[in-house]
Amino acid sequence: MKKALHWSLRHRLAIVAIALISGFAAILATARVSIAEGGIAFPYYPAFLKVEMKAEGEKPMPENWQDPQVCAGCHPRQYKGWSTSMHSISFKDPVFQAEWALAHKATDGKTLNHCGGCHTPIGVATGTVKFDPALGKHGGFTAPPIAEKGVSCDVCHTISGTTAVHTSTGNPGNASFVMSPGRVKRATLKDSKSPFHDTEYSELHTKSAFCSNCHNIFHPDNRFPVEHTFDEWKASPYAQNGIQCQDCHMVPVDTAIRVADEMKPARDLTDHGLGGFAGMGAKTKRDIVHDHGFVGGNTVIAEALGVKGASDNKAEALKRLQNAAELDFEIIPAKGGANLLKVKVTNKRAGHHLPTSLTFIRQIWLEVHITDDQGNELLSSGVAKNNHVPADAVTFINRSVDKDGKPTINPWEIANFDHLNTIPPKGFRYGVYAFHLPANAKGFKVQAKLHYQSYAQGVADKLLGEGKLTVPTVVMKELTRDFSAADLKSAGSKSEKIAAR
Amino acid sequence: MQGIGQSGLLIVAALTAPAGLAEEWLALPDIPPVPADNPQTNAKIELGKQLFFDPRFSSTGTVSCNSCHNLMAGGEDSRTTSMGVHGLAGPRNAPTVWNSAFHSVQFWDGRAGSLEEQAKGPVIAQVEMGMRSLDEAIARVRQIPGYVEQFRNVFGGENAVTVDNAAKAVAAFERTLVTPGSAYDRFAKGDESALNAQQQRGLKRFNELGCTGCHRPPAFSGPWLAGGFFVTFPFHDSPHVTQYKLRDDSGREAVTKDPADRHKYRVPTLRNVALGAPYFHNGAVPTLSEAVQVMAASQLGIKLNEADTADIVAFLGALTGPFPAMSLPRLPATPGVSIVPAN
Repeated sequence: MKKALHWSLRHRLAIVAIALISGFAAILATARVSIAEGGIAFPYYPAFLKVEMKAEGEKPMPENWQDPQVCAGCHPRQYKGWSTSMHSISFKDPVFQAEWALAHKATDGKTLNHCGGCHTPIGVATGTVKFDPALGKHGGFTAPPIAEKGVSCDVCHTISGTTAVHTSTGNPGNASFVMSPGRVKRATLKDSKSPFHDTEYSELHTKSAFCSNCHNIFHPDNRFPVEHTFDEWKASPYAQNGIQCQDCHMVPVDTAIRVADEMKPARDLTDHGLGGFAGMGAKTKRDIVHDHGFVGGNTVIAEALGVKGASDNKAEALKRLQNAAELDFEIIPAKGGANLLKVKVTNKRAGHHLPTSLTFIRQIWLEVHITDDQGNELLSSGVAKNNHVPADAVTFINRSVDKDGKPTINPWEIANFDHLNTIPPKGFRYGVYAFHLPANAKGFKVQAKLHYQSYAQGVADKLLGEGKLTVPTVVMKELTRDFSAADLKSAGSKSEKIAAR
Repeated sequence: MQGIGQSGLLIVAALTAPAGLAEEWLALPDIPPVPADNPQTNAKIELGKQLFFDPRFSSTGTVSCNSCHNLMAGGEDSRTTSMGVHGLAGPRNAPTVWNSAFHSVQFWDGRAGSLEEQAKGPVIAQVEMGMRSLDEAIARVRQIPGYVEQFRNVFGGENAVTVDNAAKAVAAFERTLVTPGSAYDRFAKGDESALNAQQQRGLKRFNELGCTGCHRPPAFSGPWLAGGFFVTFPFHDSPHVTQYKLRDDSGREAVTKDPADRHKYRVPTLRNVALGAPYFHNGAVPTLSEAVQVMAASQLGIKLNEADTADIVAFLGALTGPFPAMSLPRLPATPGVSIVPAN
């Protein structure tokens, strides 16, 4: 396991050291290129994070970043949203901590900055995040209070740029952002003014390109895109219609539904109702005040950790999941053999694949039952056993393998996906089932459920221990239809769709 | 008083204050943050108390800390700006010393990072205590045997009488000048009858309007930040700006020389604010109700109606006291001679 990676960082650093000592520009240039293809050095490699302090040579310290409580005074609404979000627990999340600990041990600590760069940018920037083997089942990490707060207000709002074009893939990801902590807070308003901090308009904050720096992760060594949410979006009709991550994930779910249905950015929706004041004491009513709950599909951890207000975030997440996909049936009558049921699953409202991010750990699968009018069960598939997705289920995930093609779900070992089955934005995939209708049956009923788990139960058991966490299963969509036996016969020998009744 | 080990905990408590979310009103802790290098001891506090009340360390022998930070009243001097030696007046209104220990930085412009640092300032300010140097001031202390003995007891060593030790003693005393147990504090601890209906309305409005954005419970000062929490005042334009000359003072810019700090001030505690008239850095606003309206106009950009103003003033009254029982200290004497030079 340890040898699964061929980390060459040590060699790269050695080259840099030699270059620095010899002082030859040409050698230095070569060395830099070897550490980061774009020609700049990354002090937190393999995180592509950079920190720009006010004074040259100043060392970033935890106190250079503001506690979210300070921001909350004037921005209570944004604070409340953030405090229930995954961003607020990106470091503390015990599932993540355990996975990070396993990676840490398997790679001799080389994933410290790789994972930490996005999960605790302040902890990495200040060098204060530490591994403690005594924590949790597999070990865990500690950091100063401000760094424990993960992707906090001042992390995003002091980001001044991106290093995306300089990463080893030339693409955004792996914490490819520049933090400039200080009193200048950057966001999307061009004329904002605060009595406390300075303000600066940032085009980057208005775009998916901002989010891309963490929501795109490639293996530091083999460069395989392990998570590619941004890339999925970029290839989608959403991107082509100018719809950014913020248009769905920084607005209420009802607005996100409209964005996906009308395929317009939130600001272009008529009567979007997102206007308001960006802060206490503000005089200018803004057209859009963004939510900061960053709601996606993860409904598990915030509530399990007892985060105050987590139930609001969970309710939003459930509604998103329940509105993301659509189900439909097609029946292909037998030509002497088995009839086919095709369950069509359409990604109706997610601007990335379903599922996204850790596509090899998340679970989206179909549970299908076909029963005839006599009460006989003709087919049953995808019924979870002890919360585990059964092997016979049609699942919409990617299968990850290591460099030898052997299946693995350890992110640090992944070198490829050998089977791709996630559902692209506005695209669809089928689950196909064969069944026989008994001769005496006059009709049959098809029931399908699309299930979601943020991660497989086996992953939770492995990371936290058996019985520690029951991963909730969310029914994203349900469809039941009755068909007549006559429909199958009348369809004759041709493979054609039968309209559902 | 217990000092050691409390500091970190209390700082955490201060940071996790309600932050504009009304459901978490906090009561003032009994003990403010105490720095690790200056733990509280009874002997040190007593020494600090004597130094605080002793006018002999001003050039004329007339001005003590207590002259402008009157502990028999609201911890300040009720003047527009303070009067020091020779009747000289400074540019700013004296902030209350009560609960100053809950401020992470001191002075209106936050130029002192601690009470210890602050204590050294007024002694050598020419319009305050008017000493030529801190060395000159500490030389006077050394002439008083009763002080020398106490410094040795408290700090140890032959050369215990130093400027830094004097500042530590004064700061230790000031950390006892806290007023937990106000009507608001009793309310925060669950006694709803501690605030009357008008005060409760005021508290609600105070929060809804955004006052708590800067004046955070429990001290109703800015949040505890190591480098200070500074806010532009006045932020919005209003007729009050010229009426009360609110922008004549450059604020923190004078300290940092950074134009971004123009008109920035530390957010003062509102504990005992009802006893703190006149108001603001220049003491130009005579009444609390006018001060509330000026704040609403200049920081929140709103014109506050009479009813809200009255309710908020009533609420602010619930932040008064109670004041600890206190006796005047007996100052160590120099029998037969005066250490204050002749005029």
